Amino acid sequence: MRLIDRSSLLPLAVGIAAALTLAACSAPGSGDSGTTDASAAAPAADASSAAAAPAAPDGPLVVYSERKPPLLDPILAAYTAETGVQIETRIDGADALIERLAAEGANTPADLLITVDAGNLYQAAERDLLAPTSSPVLEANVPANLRDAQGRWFGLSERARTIMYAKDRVDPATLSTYEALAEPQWKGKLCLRSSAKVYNQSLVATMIERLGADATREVLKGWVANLAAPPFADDTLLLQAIAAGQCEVGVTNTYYLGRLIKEDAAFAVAPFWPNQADAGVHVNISGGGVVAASDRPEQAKALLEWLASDTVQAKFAGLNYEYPVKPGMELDPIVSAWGEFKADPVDIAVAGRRQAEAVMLMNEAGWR
Amino acid sequence: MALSRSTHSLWLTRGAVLGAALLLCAPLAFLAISPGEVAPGLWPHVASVMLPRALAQTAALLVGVGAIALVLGIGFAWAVTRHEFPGRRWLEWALALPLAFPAYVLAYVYVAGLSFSAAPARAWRAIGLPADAFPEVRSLVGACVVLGLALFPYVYLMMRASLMRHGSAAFDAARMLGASPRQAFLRVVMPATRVAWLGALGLVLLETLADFGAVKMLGRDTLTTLVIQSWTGLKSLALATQLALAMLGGVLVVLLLARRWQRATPPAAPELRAPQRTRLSPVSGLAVTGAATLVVLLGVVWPIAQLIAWMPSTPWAAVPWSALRGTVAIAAMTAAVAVVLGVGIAAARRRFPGDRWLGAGSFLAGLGYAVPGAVMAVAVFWCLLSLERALGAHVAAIGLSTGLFALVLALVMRFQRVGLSGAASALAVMRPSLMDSAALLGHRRPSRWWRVGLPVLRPGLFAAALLVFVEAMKELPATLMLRPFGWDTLAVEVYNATSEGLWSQAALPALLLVVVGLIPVLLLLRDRR
Repeated sequence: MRLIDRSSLLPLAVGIAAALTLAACSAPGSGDSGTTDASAAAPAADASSAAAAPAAPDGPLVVYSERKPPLLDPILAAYTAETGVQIETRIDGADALIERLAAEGANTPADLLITVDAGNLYQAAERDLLAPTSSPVLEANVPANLRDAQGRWFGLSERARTIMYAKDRVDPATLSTYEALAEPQWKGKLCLRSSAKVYNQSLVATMIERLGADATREVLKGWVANLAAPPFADDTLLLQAIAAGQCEVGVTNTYYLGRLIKEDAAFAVAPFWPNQADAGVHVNISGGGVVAASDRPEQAKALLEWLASDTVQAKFAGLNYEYPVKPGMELDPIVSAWGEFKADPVDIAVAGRRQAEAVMLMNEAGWR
Repeated sequence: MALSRSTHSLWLTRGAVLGAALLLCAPLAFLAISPGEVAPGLWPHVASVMLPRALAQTAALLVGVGAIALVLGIGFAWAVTRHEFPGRRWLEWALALPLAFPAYVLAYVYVAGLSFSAAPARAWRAIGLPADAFPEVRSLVGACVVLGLALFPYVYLMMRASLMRHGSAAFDAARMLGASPRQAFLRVVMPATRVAWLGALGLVLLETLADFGAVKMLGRDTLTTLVIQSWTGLKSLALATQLALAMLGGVLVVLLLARRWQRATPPAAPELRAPQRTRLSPVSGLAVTGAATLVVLLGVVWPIAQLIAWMPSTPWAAVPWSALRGTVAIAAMTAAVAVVLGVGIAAARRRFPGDRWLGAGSFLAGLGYAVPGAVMAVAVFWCLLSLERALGAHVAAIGLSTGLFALVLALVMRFQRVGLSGAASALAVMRPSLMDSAALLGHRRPSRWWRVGLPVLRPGLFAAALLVFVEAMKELPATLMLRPFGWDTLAVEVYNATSEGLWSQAALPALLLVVVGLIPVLLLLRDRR
């Protein structure tokens, strides 16, 4: 009797909580109340939030960014110095920012979304959170495969995810393609980052596009079989493991190596540019798009154009040893020392389109 | 007349407690009406490939961390309350200090500090030991040790406080009656202190279950990483919320079972005699000292030294003052709210013992501890935003979802359980006879609480507030998502640097976070002396 009482009480209470919340949470979603509220609420919201976050059209431009302050703040400060436009940033992971944008809807204070990895921008665009923007400057400076066909997002820096090898132990002539790292000669010599990192998911997504799911799965299984250590949580630790001799080759973004070389010029790891005879090196982007519900789309676009302009491109990428999206820009000496390479010209939106598929394939192959 | 007034007040109390509990749970219920549908094909994949692994690893991790926390926590608590051994005075407080370390910072220190390329591993190979035999932190054992070190102080602190009042005299009595030390400990001390160690074990296990940052670093696939991966990798927030709800359901069942078991025997009455310390033999004394010193070295000294070593050469130029202020302010607000709520609920339960509505309310209020912070943040944000829209312009103008309210609510939801158990144990100290005596001396109720209740409760409540403070200070995903514009915290600073692999930039905020955390922990110990 006791048991029955108690066990029926809790579900009941939870049920009440659920019902209350349903009442509170589901009411606005239906009908037109949301839109009328939005227009009615706008002036009030502006007035009240003035203390914390001025959101009036002449207030600061609001940037939601996944790119972290050390790599973004100096650039935005330069924009403010140049144009007088104040900028406020909200830093978070892309998924949280996108969820926030979706929830805020028409009331969002955000004007520009900046993320790393094209997959994130693709998701934001798919959910109609980014506005199609047409800009001769952006279209001229950002190669077509590194921006959305409808102009909802544009790459601002290019990041190569390539093969890294220990200079003292590996003859680069033995390296050829990403796929070849699955061959038995690399057994116990390969290091990879966790499959939970979106950079790897994008790499695999483009491989699926290029090789098909079955061939990609075989490659991934080969990689997993060749691992010298459990997958790393971090590219920097992975590169240090290559340098220290835990493994001989790995796959990382180049800018992590750039930072390590900046600290220690003798750091004995070098990038190898794979697949030069076919697809090219996998490149991804950090980039941005104008928020669909922005009340200052022109200002947001102006900032985006400025970020893609000749003078800023080198600095934006150079702060982090990345590559400018605009070809022919001057590179940091550490970066230019690695030489030129052919990049995979695939439409980078595929990283977003095939992301879930890539994650499932990585899981099936046993890549943690 | 008297009866009806008391019934009236019972219903008022029930209403208040359940109301508060439902407020704390409402955003969780939002998960049940999660946004969108799960794409076809995702569930079969999750069920066949990801879930079995996550379940197995979670179970193994919970067993390992729980065992380490219990052994270290209970063992050292017993040692410092009952025995005198070399260094006991400083080890007694040093053993609580790992509490100041966010698990993700400790995990990073271990993963990076014991990586193949770091000094200890290099030294290992230099003296000719086989490279393969060097312990791998990114393994089940490594993860259990790191999380065990980070979390055992909960057991240690609660058990130490409990042993001051329970079990010690009973142990001596059992010994006199012929029980072996082992028998006396297992059959007398453990049952007498079970509220403390069971409660602490619950915190440790729930913390392990909801952890994301540390397990990610340590390469474990747990239910929480599965939830997050469903969201960020498989791009299905709907799947993530369904998984989180299922996880919560499992926790609910376990907690209910634990409550039944805990209720089966009535709590022991406090003992009148404080525990007496006996001097250990030189050999066992040194063994205890050695073990405790090792734990302090591994859990506090080495990690702090490592963080200092990683700092850039002129760190003081870059002290993030605003993040420091933000951390303290947000954690203090959370602690205040959680303790006030906790006292209210605990006092209500004390006034009407055995009332099931109040029991259910208290239970519901603590549920958020088992929910991953990131999921909690999304639920709170969506719910408040919907509420704003439903209530219209005037409420939207207050900025429910964009202000501090949202963040503090999420943090209180996450850590109310800590505030509750702290408040409950603070109230447990106060014998009913105390208030009765005050009543006999002519004090009315408010005066009774103010002049007698509060002074007696103060240390316990202070301790509860400090525990919530430390928890809230370390929290990351909810803070990251819900902090208002212009508010930064040290945890956010650490995240900003580490998510891009900039660890030298993270070392200073991480160290500050630990230092800010050490202060309440030290206060906690001083107060309990």
